Amino acid sequence: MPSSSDSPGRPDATGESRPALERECRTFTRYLTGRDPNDYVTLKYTNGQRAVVRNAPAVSLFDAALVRFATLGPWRTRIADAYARVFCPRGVLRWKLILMIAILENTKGFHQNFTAGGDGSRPAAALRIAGAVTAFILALGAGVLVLGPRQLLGGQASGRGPAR
Amino acid sequence: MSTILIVGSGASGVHLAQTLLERGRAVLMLDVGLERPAPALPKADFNGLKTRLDDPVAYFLGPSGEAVVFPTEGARYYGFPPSKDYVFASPPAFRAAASGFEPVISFAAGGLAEAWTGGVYPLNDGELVDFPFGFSTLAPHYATVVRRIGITATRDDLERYSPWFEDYQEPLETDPHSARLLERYARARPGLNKDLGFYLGRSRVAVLSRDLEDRNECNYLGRCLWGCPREALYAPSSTLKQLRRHPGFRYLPGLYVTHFTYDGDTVTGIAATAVADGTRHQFSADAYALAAGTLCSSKILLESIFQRTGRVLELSGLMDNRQMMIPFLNLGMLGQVVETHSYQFHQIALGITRGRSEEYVHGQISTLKAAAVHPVVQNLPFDLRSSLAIFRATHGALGVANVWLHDRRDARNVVTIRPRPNGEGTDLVIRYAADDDADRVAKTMRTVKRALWRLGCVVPPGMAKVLPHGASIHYAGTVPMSREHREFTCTPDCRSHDFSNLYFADGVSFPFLPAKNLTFTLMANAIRIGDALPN
Repeated sequence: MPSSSDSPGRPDATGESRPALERECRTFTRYLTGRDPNDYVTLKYTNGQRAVVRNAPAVSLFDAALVRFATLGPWRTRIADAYARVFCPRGVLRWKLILMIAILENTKGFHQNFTAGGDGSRPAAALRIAGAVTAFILALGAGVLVLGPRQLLGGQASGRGPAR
Repeated sequence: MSTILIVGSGASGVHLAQTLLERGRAVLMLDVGLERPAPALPKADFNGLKTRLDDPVAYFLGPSGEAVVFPTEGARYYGFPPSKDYVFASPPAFRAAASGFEPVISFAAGGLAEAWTGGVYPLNDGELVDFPFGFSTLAPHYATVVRRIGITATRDDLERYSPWFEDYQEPLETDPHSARLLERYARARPGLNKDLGFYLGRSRVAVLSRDLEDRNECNYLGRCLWGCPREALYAPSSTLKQLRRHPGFRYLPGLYVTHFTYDGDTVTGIAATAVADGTRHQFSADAYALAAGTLCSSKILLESIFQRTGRVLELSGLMDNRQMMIPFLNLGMLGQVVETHSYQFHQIALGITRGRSEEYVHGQISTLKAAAVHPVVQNLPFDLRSSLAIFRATHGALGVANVWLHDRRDARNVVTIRPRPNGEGTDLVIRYAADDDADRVAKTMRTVKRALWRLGCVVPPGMAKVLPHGASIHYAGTVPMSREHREFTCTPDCRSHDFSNLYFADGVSFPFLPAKNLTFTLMANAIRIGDALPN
């Protein structure tokens, strides 16, 4: 199993402390799979921030606020993610969530969540799709109410970059 | 015994070498030759890698997450796995700049076909109309390639575009999604053929359904994209491995060829730089063949003239197949279980003809099985939790049609070099100016979408992509074959019109680029050159 050279508590390259990243990882894993991450996933996520830092665009104040909001719990993550998909699809929150999926889909114990496909029933698949679309619409609506005003109130100003 | 020096170990180079060795010649091959790493857990299947590797994330995404596909402008639906990094790495001495073109160049042992998907389609007389020979000239050489590398195929509607060879191996088992598409096609066939000029059939693929020499038949591990540990999917490095056992063959990897030296119209040697320490070396032979790929072979020619005369020249007529990527959802496959134990690349190919046969449109259809999930779900127009739920429900129904258009030589598309200020060699420069295929692209896109609809599939709005020039990695045309003795052309046997003992064994010599994947023809043409090369 790989090991990390970073010290606990030390701010990560993203500017977030390791405990904050671990909390972020736990929330995002619950949001995506309904389960807690194991140590391997947490380690990979915290180390993977370097890939985000290396390539992500500069972070606006609103981006940072969106990540903070998303970290408060899985439902808030869903609201923030739905909002980000429409209004800032290439923002840092989406980068972090996509990193999370990339890790989980390649990790023992989690990978089946991503690669198994359906159960052979077309009506069940149609219901699942309808449910997912409805959940998205509700989350987006909540996002517009909660996060929209914040974005309009100057959140676009340039803030601290993720690592630069 | 005369010695032929070949630059490059890609599909053209190794098949030229094999032919020359079979004719009793000695071959010296110079190559950067970056090596494929040994496959991890050779007997494990796709899911087995995830459960049995100590660090599967490092294997699938790279030690620092290099292979994660993040949501950037123009992000694709797939990423190249780290196990293929060696295919696209460059030696420090090589630099390139391009406008209007995204070049992909390989210095791997085996070249770019180390990362191909194995599509092999012979060109017919209509597509060879600008070549100084027809199908009957190439046919015996295609047949040799079929025997050497092993190709699976079946007799179907694609035979009208791709002539049949007796030594084809029987096809691999189809996955359920591909089987369903073929069933729908069988029912909708008359209308598709008549109304749209659209034909469908099994892909002709360089993958083994029976063992062949050192290589094993496909046993459906599902690891095609990450590098087949059984070598069932052909790669030129398999041929290179065989060649290295031949007493007449000498392979020198770790050498970056910069240029050749010449006296009058005779090449006198090849200059190369050692990748490891930058030392310079000179090699000589009786004849020389450039097989470094269209862009690198062009650069070697241009730099040779520059080193001798100080002149910076341009080679015009660079061609590249415009590529479209059209994802679709097969409504009849919604909710189906995904079978990762299958051949992962395209199992179905398509052909569209509406006009002259050289305007044939070629495509390959891949159904989604063991590909990475995160590049796909980030493109769905929902939050990621919803996207994952939708992806699970539709995974077995997802597919992508990759479609290519033919290209013609155009004087505006140029390969040249730029001398470095410090006098240490040159950089490769590509200027691709011709970009007037919007009508063809739009028309083809419409036809494919209509055909997919008749096959029970829908293309989600906004998800079809037209890839930038260079993305197809089918490059050709900078030193075309010509019966006329013109500067920077070559004879029908691919001997330079400018240098009497220099041959062009790769795509530089193609006067036209049909829509079909060109690798099969590169191999057959290299064999033809080897056959014709005088003693």
